[in-house]
Amino acid sequence: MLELHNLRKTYGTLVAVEGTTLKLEPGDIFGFIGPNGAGKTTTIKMLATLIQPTAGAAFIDGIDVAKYPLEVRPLLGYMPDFFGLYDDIKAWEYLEFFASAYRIPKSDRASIIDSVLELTDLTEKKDAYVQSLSRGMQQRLCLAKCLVHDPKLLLLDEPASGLDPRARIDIKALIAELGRMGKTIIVSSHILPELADFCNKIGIMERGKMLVSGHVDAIVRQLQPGRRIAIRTLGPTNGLRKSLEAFEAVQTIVPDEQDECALTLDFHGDIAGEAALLKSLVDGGHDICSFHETGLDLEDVFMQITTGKVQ
Amino acid sequence: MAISIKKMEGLWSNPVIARDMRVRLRGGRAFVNQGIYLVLLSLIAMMGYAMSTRDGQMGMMDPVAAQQSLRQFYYFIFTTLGGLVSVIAPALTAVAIVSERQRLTLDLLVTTPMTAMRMLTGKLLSSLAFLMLLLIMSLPLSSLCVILGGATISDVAQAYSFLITDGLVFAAIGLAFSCTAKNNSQAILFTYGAVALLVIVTGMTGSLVVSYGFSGRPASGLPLCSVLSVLCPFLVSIIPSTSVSVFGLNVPLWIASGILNVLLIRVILTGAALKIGMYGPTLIRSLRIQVLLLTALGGYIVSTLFTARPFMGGGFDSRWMFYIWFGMVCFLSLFMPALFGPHAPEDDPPGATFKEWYAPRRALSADYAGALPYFHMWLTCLMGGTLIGAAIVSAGSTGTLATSVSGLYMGSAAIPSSGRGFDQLCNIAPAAWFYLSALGFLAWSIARRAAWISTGSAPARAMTFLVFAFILLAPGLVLLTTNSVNDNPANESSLLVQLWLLAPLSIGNGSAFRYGGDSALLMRSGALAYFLGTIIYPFWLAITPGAGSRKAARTAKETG
Repeated sequence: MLELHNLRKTYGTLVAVEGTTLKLEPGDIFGFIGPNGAGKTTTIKMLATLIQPTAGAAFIDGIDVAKYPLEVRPLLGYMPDFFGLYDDIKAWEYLEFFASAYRIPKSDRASIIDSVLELTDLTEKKDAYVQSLSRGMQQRLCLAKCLVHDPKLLLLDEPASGLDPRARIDIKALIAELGRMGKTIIVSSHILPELADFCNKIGIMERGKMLVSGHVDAIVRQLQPGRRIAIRTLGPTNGLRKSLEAFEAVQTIVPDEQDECALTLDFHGDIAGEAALLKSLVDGGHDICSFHETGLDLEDVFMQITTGKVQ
Repeated sequence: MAISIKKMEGLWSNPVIARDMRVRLRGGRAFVNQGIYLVLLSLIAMMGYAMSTRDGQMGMMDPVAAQQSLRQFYYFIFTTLGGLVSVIAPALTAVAIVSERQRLTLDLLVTTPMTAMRMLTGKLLSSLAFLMLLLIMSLPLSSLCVILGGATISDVAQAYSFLITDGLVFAAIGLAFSCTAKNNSQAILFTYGAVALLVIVTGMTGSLVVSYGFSGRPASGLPLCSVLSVLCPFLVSIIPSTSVSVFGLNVPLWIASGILNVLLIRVILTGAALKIGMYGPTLIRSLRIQVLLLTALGGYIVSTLFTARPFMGGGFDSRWMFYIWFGMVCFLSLFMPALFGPHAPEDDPPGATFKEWYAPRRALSADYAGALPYFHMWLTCLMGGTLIGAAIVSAGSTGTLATSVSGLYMGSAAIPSSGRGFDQLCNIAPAAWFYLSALGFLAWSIARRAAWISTGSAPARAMTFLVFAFILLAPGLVLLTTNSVNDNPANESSLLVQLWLLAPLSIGNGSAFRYGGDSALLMRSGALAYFLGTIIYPFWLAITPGAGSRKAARTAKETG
């Protein structure tokens, strides 16, 4: 569906995006993570045919974005991080304007507008002036605009920025629903927990470079080859630590600084090994009240991969 | 026919028109504004009527004086409407695109399949629709002129058609500045400045037409003045209903001016469209072709005006035409560094080599190798148009198309003697082409070399301008300070004069053309400019081994 081959953008001597390579399939929701100035928006703008790449190529549904921008545009829906709305225009008129721009036949427009308003939960606001809508509703209206022509690829640049928690949850649910409908979605954000809920792939970008990209699980596994296990006991963990050091599969033991009864360890073994470890600890007389696996979350992944430098 | 009707339907189904009209005419505010407009217009008309008819004392006048008064009332009404068009039409579009950009809605539009041209056409037609609404609202007042006898229906219809085309041109100028300006106030300032300049220049050509009307002397090139003066909305009621002779064919003025305005609007919109979003080479190609056509047309109009200016006294001197050409080339040279020269180094293909510096088949694309061939094409169109115009005017004694074309084909000898210097023009034309192309080549070479030395566009442009200005002006300044020019013809053979590239413009009291067109001087200076330009860029590129790869390496290093 979407392929980037060494996509590069420079402004004079400044390298905004350096050799980004990526492949996404239909239904993929790709979380684009990176600090401000990392090159996320530039990459999205190149895909949205707003900026010409300096080198490399991007293909949407097999069509070269730089060579055939007009052919690519019907395939994508673009929602920028900052967008404006026209004054003195109603929500349905706004959508009709874009439906007309996407050359949707006049006879089909009314039904399409109704269905995208329903999908974005704005049916009640159909006749409201766009400037009277709340920020969250305007975000959803812009998303509805992206959907009027049923695009295959959605480019959403910081879609939840500036929204209150409820509106944030609404827009997350909407994006997840669109992913289930088979659309390929690229969502950029630097609010990581937001992306963790619905992205199946992520890419981390810093200073124009794509540091890592792929399935979330694969990246976590790559960064954390073993299993991380959290243990909690009834008393202090001093004795437990000594017992654990005797196990070869236990690599690192990190006591919890806040809680003397808890620790985490990296375990290089399979699930049967995990069971055997628990059994031997219990048999060894340790009062284990909690023993469970914890994975790295996106924030851990981000912090491990990035250096914090900006351009 | 079916296709063109479909295209027209597509034109009016443009979403931008529907949205703009919806927003402009929505609510009570539009109704109130239009009401105020009508009241003001009526008051102005009443005032004009009172002034023209001496407080309405028509019954006391003799019929001729009464007719003149009513004619003045007609002039007054349409001058007022012209003023309104001059003010309102640019305002309708001057902020159309820049406000979309500031409101952050432009990116949303650009990512739709709507092309920039379609977007701009929509903006233009929506402003036209609004302008027409305002003009239609003025119909009750202008119809008074017909009812009272101050003008005929055809007078009023022609004046309205001119007002509409003027409004369209002004709106297109507004759109162009709207695409290039950084903010609303800059767009408004530049738009009104450009419109004011256009109104002044076309007003001057209009004054020639009016003075011609009083003199009663024949002037074959004068209707072309009328074509230009139509662009002054204050004169739409004064310009006589006439025809323009184009290649021997009599074309009604409103058609000729309409065609010229459509060409002008198209080239303005194409240039403006290049400033919006990421569009392929198609627009650049289209723009370059349009500029070539307009250049040829411009040369034609200028030469017919200058070779047929009996009311200004004296015959035509080819020196003037040469100075006009020179001015046009200098004007283009100002843009050459921007158009053809200092792109950032990475914009050039890494393997740029000597073989690629001149590629005529890439003349219409945005490619530095096609820049110089395009300049040569442009110069050829300019001179071609000029010579055709001059030939037609010179052959004007018989005035037929066949005579004109044969005159051009056969050379000056076959053209009846006009006494207006066309034979001189023909004599110097090849040398003048060579000389002017050499100056363009020199500017281009300096610009290309500056692009290789400098990493950014701004320093490269500054370097180009300074070096070019130094080469052209420094010998002249030395000659002037030592009183070597004009006073002592013997100094014309001095080395400094030989090296001065502007020598053909200023040597001696009678200039280079005092010998009836000194082609030798033009050829000598042109050859020198070509020699300098060749050393500065193509020769340097040829003798520098691996220049392309070295540049690519440097670019790669600079870009990290």
